[in-house]
Amino acid sequence: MQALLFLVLIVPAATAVLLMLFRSSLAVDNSRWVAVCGSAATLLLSVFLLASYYATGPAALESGREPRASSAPAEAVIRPKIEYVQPWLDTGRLKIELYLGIDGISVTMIALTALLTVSAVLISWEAIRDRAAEFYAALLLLQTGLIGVFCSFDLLLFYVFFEMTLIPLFFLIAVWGGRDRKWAAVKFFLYTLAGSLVTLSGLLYLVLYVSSQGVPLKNPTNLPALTAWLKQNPLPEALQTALFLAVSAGFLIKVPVFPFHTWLPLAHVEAPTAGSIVLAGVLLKLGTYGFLRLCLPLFPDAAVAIGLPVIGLLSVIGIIYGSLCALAQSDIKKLVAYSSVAHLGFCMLGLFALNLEGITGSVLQMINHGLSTGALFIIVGMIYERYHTREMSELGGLASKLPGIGISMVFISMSSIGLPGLNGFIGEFLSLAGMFKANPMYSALGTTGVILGAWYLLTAVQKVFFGRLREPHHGDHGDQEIDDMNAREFLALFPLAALCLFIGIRPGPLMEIIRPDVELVVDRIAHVSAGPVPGAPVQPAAETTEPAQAAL
Amino acid sequence: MPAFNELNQAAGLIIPEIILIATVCIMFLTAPFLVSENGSSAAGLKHRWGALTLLALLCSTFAWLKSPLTDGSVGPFEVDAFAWYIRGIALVSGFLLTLILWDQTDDTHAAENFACLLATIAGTSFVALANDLIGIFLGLELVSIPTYILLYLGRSDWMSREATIKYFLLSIFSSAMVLFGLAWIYGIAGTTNLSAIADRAHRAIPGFEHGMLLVAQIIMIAGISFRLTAVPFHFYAPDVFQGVAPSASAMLSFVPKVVGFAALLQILPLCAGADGIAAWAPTKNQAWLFSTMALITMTFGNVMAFRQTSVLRMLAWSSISHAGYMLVGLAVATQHGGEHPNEASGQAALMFYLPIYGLMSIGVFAVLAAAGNRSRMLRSLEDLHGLSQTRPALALAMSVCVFGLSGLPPTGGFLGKLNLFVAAWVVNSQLSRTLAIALAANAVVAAAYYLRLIGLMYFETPKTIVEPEPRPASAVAGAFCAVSALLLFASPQWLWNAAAAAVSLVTA
Repeated sequence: MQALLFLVLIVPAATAVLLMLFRSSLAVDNSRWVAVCGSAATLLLSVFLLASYYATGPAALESGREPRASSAPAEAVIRPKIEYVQPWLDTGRLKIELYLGIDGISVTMIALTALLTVSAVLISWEAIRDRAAEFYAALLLLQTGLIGVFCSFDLLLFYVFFEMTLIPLFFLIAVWGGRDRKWAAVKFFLYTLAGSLVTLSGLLYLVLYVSSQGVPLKNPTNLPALTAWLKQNPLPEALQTALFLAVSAGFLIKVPVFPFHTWLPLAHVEAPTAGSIVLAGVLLKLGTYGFLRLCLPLFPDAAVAIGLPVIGLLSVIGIIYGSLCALAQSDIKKLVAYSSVAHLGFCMLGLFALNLEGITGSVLQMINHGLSTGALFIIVGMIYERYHTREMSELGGLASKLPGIGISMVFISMSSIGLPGLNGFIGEFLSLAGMFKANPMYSALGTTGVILGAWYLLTAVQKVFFGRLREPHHGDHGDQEIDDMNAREFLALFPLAALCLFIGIRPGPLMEIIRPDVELVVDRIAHVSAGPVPGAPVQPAAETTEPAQAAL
Repeated sequence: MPAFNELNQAAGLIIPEIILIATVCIMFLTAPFLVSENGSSAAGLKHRWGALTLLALLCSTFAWLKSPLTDGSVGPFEVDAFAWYIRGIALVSGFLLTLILWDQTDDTHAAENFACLLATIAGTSFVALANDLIGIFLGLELVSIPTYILLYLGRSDWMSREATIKYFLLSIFSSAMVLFGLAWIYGIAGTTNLSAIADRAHRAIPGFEHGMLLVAQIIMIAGISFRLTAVPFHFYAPDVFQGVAPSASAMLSFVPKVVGFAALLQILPLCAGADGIAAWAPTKNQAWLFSTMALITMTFGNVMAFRQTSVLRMLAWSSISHAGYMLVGLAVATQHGGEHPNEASGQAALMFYLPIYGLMSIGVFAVLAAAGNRSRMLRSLEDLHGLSQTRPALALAMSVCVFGLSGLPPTGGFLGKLNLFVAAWVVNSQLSRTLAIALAANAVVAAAYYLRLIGLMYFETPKTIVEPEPRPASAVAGAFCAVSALLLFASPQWLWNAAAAAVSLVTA
């Protein structure tokens, strides 16, 4: 399984290198096929990875969390199940390791990344004709960076991959984007870079602080070891708060949480469809994943003290503000972009409920949002490819002309709105339920987002797909017949839609995979609320949600 | 004959340099006979001279790898880990610069060009090898004097002449300053031997640092700062970088920095009364001086780089700001040993960053050299427009190097900046933490103009058509730099070990 993990990381990168090496001798057609093969192989590998992880999962779950083949100390809050550790750079003060691994949360995110990349490659088939080899290389490099983030368990390695995703996406937006692409790309790049440098400073401070303490940790960038160490030697409250805020900076921008979201709509609108899919589907999740992976386990006191009240509030504002903005849009892609702000608000809300329901819901919401918003961007891309417009006022009644796209749009919208029976419902419900335990007010306010979500999405569906047929005058493409979804587009969209349905009906397996790792985090938080008693037996998670609430 | 034996012994220590200097002599002496009186020469002569240069470098490298380390030498030279490391940097940069020069020179002047380059490489090593103030100064001059010729031979238009004259005058002036400072040190200590000076300074401290030694240091640092292009001694850099051929700019962006830092690391410890770099922690005055210089240099360099319309000027300012980053390493240097015998001290971080910076900087100039042609070299930012369409491989190599300069993963530049940051942060003082934060902030500011450079290559349509001319040597140099920038990210440990050993943090 180690080999499998390696391959998942290396295959996309190798494909990208191949594409770049033979870029001049490859026709557009061939580079597409190479990209499809590379991304499909990665998907296959990640499905294998997920399957083999799942196969060994339930056993570990039943017998408690102990018999995990992990080098992580027993106290660790993060325990990757499959791991590969290799020394990288040891400068005395700073010992960085190549620590790759997966746990339940990361393995699902890897699978999501692989799936969305295949869709992104398929959907760019016709749209990208200019410098296709470079386009696919950038896309696959982006995928490598994303998978890298999900499977790194060393702080610095995490940061490196986190940063590495910037470069290919920057190119994707700036070369193949829309009219205002350069400004969008630069804004995206500098904004997120500034944030992530603050994150880096926070992480480095933590590492250097830990290594200078009385009982120093030999490898303070090793995430599992670090969480275990911090559990035994809690940081002073003030320091924790400061570091929590610093480390959060990059993630707040990445998610993006309310006042830091301005780069997102711009980047989304200007990015090519494939870029939007990966951006919304996976890249934004780096922010929430970062919170879950770093901020909660490393600074649990601060997460309870300021995470819930402050970030919770910002998420609620984000949900309502994002929904209202989405409602006001006339550009359908911008609408979906703002809906991302709102949906990630749910995700953050669940995360900072800091209980089992909330965090499980949040992880589900990450995956659901990836699937449904990815699919929405695919559909928007299909419409744009046909009519070269995204203005809702210029479109209407398309369902009669393009029934396939119409049906998909209705289906995906339902999933995104959170119709029971589809995936969105599970994630949003659990997030809100978790938050209800922690802070009913936030939860109640957040719920309005569900209603607003239904409003703006259904309005969009109604305007674009129903009513009188309205097609823009499509210039030089006028003689071309506008066709319904073709097989390639169907192939890009169908797996996402099928998964939306599957998760909606049977969320069990997915929850089973992520649950043990979520429980570890929840236990750690409960440990805080109960007061730092080193060595105290860890209480079962389900009962420990009350103290978390009581602390507030 | 003890004197003869001593000389023999000393010569044995500098075999790599002797090889280089001997080649220089051969080239200078025979070259005039191969060029006719009206200035024409056999076609392809430069290939022969280039090959000879590479051969000399290769022999020198071999000798470098074979040469044993000595310690506690009392002679004029000492091959310690520091000298070994600087020598390695010099030789590797020598290979790369030779490759770039290969495409820039013409047959008539090839011998002189290559010979001057080899002399500067030898001079760089001498500065690190020297065990004596005179030796250090000779090394510095062995770098500067050939540089004047190298600059002048590169191109023959008014811009190049202006640049060369400007560099010549300022450089002579700075050499005089250095010499004056060294003379003061000699006046105080009464000897030119480095360890003897350290010994005297040590015995006299405290109280000794004030007064004459302080003046001596200030004069010397001012002179050397010229080579580092540290603000406020940087004024010449943009004009000179713009004026001369890319091969010369590549050389100027890196070799003088190596020389300058090597000289500083040789002399500064003495002034603090420490024998050797390992025992040196900057005195309060030194720390303040370098912190201020680092702060001003990196900030000013980055701010000015923003406003440039010429790619060469932009790179000159970028080179200035990098001098600032590296000065951070000097400002936060810490004594070896103590609680963390192995920690990321400023000296080690500086030594680690130096070759990484060199690779990226030389790489960028190599690409510029490879993308231009005889009638037209790339000069303004507009010349770079759409390079990714006309010369895709070069554009890729350039963007890797530029990402490296901006300190983004996955390039060695990230690890270099990271270690400087950590080194500054762990020194638990207000000043060094301010420096660390300034470094991070500057990295963001700098990312903006580096990004612009990449943006021009990838997102603009070509404006000026530069007829592609095959320049394989420069392209190879650029590709080597880009690949090693990536490889150094993947496997940095060996370089760190060497860098740390050079400043004696790890006993190898």
